[in-house]
Amino acid sequence: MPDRTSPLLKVRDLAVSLGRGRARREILHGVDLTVRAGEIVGLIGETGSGKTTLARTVLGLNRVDRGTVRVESRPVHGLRGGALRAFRRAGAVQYVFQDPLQSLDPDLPLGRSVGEALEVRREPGIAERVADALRLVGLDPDLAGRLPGEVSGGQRQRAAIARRPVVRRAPAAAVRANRSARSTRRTRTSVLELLARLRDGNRVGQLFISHDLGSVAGVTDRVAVLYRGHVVETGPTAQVVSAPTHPYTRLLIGSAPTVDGGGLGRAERAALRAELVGKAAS
Amino acid sequence: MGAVLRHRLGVASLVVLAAMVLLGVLGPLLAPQDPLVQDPSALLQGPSAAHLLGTDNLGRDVFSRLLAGSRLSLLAALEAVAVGLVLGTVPGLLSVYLGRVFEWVTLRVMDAFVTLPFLVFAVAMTALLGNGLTQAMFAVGILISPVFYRVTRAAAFPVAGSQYVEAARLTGAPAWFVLRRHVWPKVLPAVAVSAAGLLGSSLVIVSSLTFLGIGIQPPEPTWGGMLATDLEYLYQRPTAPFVPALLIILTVGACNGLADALRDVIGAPRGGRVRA
Amino acid sequence: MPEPLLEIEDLSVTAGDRTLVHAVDATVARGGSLGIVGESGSGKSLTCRSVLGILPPGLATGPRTAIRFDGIDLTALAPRDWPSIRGDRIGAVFQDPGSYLTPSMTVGRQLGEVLRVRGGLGRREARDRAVDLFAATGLPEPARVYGQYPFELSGGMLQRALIAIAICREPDLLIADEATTALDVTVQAEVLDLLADLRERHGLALVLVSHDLAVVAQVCDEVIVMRDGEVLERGTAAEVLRAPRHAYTRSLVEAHARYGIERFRSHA
Ligand SMILES: Nc1ncnc2c1ncn2[C@@H]1O[C@H](COP(=O)(O)OP(=O)(O)O)[C@@H](O)[C@H]1O
Ligand SMILES: Nc1ncnc2c1ncn2[C@@H]1O[C@H](COP(=O)(O)OP(=O)(O)O)[C@@H](O)[C@H]1O
Ligand SMILES: [Mg+2]
Repeated sequence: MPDRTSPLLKVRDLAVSLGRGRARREILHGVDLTVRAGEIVGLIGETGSGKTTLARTVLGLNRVDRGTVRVESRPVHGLRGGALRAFRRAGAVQYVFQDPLQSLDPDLPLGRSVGEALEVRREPGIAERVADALRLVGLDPDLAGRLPGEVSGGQRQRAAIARRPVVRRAPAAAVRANRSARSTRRTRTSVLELLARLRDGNRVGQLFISHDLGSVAGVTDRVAVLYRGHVVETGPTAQVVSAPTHPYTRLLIGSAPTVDGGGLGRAERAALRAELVGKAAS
Repeated sequence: MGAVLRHRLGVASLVVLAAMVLLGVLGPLLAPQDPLVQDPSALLQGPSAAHLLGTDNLGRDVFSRLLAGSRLSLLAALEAVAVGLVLGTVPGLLSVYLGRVFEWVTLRVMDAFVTLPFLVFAVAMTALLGNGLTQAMFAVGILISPVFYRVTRAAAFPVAGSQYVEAARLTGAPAWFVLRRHVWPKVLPAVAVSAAGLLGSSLVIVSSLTFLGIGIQPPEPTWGGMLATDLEYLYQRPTAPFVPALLIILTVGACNGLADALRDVIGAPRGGRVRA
Repeated sequence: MPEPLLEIEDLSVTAGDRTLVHAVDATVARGGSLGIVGESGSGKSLTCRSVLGILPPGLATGPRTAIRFDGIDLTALAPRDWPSIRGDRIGAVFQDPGSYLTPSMTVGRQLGEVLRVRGGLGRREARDRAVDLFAATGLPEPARVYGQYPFELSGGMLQRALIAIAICREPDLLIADEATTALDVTVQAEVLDLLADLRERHGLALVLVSHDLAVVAQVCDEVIVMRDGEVLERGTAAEVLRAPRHAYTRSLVEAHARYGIERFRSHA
C-alpha cells in the first residue's frame, strides 16, 4: 500500500541521452525527483530544458544512461518488451497529454479512446466504466459515441483526462500542460481544478509539467525547476515562489505576467540573465 | 463508403464493374454455345441469329468466348492485385513499426521491383513457374506490390508517430492491437484507392500479356487473346476487335473512375471535423 | 485628447447569416496602446484582421462598420491601395512566427527584400539597414542572424525577426496578435519589453492581443475585454485590473490570484 513514507515515484541521479550517432547528447544530467501519494508536484522549465524527456523516461519511452526510476519502490527503468507492457497495463503510471486533439484518435469515438486501457487489459464492463469516467470529469456519457472533432475543445480536454480515472488504481500521473498556446487561461484553470479533484483522496500523486510557473503554482504542493537538464531548485511551492534561491528560478518568477505588478523590472532580469551566463561559463 | 454511393462517377463505375462481375460469374451459364467448340463449316462469320457476334477463325462462337473470357480476365486481374496487396501492404506496415533494418531492406527490395521491366519479368516467371495465367499474374502482383508498399508507408508513417498511438502504447497495448486499432483504419482508404486503380492497370496488363500469348493456353478465351485473333483477321471481320476492346476500355475506365471517386470521398473533409 | 490614429466603429464580422463579431468600438491614439483580452474564439483575431483587410474568405464586415486609419476609410479601400497601408503604415505579427517566414531563405534576405522592393533601398543599404533593425529588436549578433535560416533560430528570435520586418517601413501602428503566446515566459517578458521600447522610442502605436489579461496590462494603457464577439468591458489597464466591473473580467483576475504566483506573493 502506498503511504506517505514510500514515494510513488522516485527518480534518482537520472541521466538520459537522445539522438543518434554524432548527434547524440546528454539531455538530463543526473536529475532527482520525488512524488508522494496525494501530492501534486510541478515540473517547471523553459523549452528544451528536458521536461518531456523526463516524463517520457518515467514512462519507459527512453533508455537511461545512469540512475534509477522507481514506481512504488520497484525499479522500472530497465523494463523491456513484455515486462514493460505488463507494467504499463497495470496502470501504475498514467499520462495526460497536453494536446487532446492530438492524443485522441480522430476517427475513433471518444468512448473507445477512454476505454482503450480496459480493452487492452480485457476487462469486463467497459461501457459502464467509461460512462462513469466521463461523468467523473463532468461529461455527459452520451458523448462516448462522438468523434473528437464533434465536440468542443474543452470537452476534448476532459475526455483526454477521462482516460486516466477509467483505470482504478492510478498512483502517479504525469501531466503535460506546457505550451499554453492552445488553451486559454480559463479552460486551463478548469482543467487544473479537475486534475486536482482527481487526487482521489490521498492515493494519487501527480506531476504537472509546464513552462509557466504562474499558471500552475496555485495547484501544486511542491515544484521542481528544471534548467538545461538539471533540477536547479526544488521545494514547497510557497517557499520557492517567495524565496527563490537559484538565479534561473528568480528570473522565471520575475518574468511571469501577474496582475499585481509584482514582477521584476527589466534591469533586474538582465542582471539575473548575466548571472546565469556567468554560472554557465564557470 | 456510403459516401461513394452519393458520388456520381463512383456510382457509374460501380454499376459497370458490377455488370462485368456478373458477366464473369454468370458468363459460362449464359453462353449459348461451348466457347471451345469449333465449327469448320462456319469460319469468320458476321453476326447472325445463331452467332450473335459471329464466329472466329476456327468457327467458335465469339459471344460465348467473350462471356467466358470475362471471368478469366477479371480473375487474373484480381489475382495480381491481391498478390500485390499482400506483398506490399504487410511489409509496408511492418517497415514503419519494426525498426530501421527491416525498413532499409524492404525499401531496397521494393526499389529493385520498380526497376524490373515488367513484360520481361512476367515472361521469365512463366518460364520458371510454367506457362499459365496464374503464374503470369503472380509476377504482375510482385511488380505492383511497391505501389501498395509506398502507399501504406505514407499513410502509416504519421499515424505511427502520433500521440494517440503513443497513448495506446502507454496502456501496454501490444503492437498488433495498435496496428489494428489505430494504424490500419488510416491505411485502408489509401490502399482501397490504389487497389481500384491497379485493378484497371492489371486488366490492361492481363490483356497485353494474353494478347502476346504469354500465360495462356491457346484454346482458353481471354479478352486480350481474342483481340489478338481479331486483329489477325481484321480484313475479313473489320468490326470484330471492337467488342473485346470496348469491354477492356469500359472495365479499366470503371476501375479508374472508382479510384477517383474513392479519392474524392476520402479527401473531402468529414462532417463535424473541426480544427483547433 | 490626442488625435486618434485608428478608429473602429460598430465593427461586425459575419459569415453568411452568422455574426462572429458584433458592435465593437475601439480607438487607438497616435502613439497610444490598446490591449484586447479574451478567451479563444472571442473575436480578437477577426477584429485585427478586419483592420488589416485580411478577413478569411467567406467573412465580411457589416454595412455599418467604419474603420478609419489616419483619416482613411479602410472599409472602402480599393485592393490596389492596400499595400500602401498594410506593411507600410500598419505592421502586424502573429502567434506562429515560423509560418510567416519562407523556410528556404535567410531571414536577412527576407527583410532585405522588403526594404529594397517597398523602400527602394540599394542592395548594400538594405543589408546595413536590416542588420540595424535586427540589432534594434534585441537580436544578439545581428550580422550573424542576417545570414541564418528560420529553422536555425529559436521561437523568441524568430518573433524578433518578424517584428523587425513588421517595423522596417516605420509604420504608425503595430498589431501583435498573440505574438508572445507560444514563447517561454522569460522570453515573453523580453519581447513585451521590446514592444514597450518601440512605442517609447519611435512613437509606434500598439494593438496587443492576448488571452492573458496580465500580459496586456503590462504593456497597454487602454484595455478592452471581449467574449463571444462582443466587448464586455473597457477602461484603462489599471481600472480593469483593480476594479473589474464585469463578472467575467473579475473571474480572469481571480484566476490569477488563485492559481498564479500572486497567491504566494500576497503574504510574502
Ligand atoms: N529524439 C530526440 N533526439 C535528439 N534530441 C532530442 C530529441 N528529443 C528532444 N531532444 C532535445 O532534448 C532537449 C530537451 O527536450 P525536451 O525534453 O523536449 O524539452 P522540454 O519538454 O523541456 O521542452 C532539447 O534540446 C531537444 O532538442
Ligand atoms: N474562417 C472562419 N470561418 C468561420 N468562422 C470563423 C472563421 N475564423 C474564425 N471564425 C470564428 O469566429 C470566432 C472568433 O474567432 P477569432 O477572432 O479567431 O477568435 P480569437 O482570436 O479571439 O481566438 C470564433 O468562434 C471562430 O470559430
Ligand atoms: Mg486568435
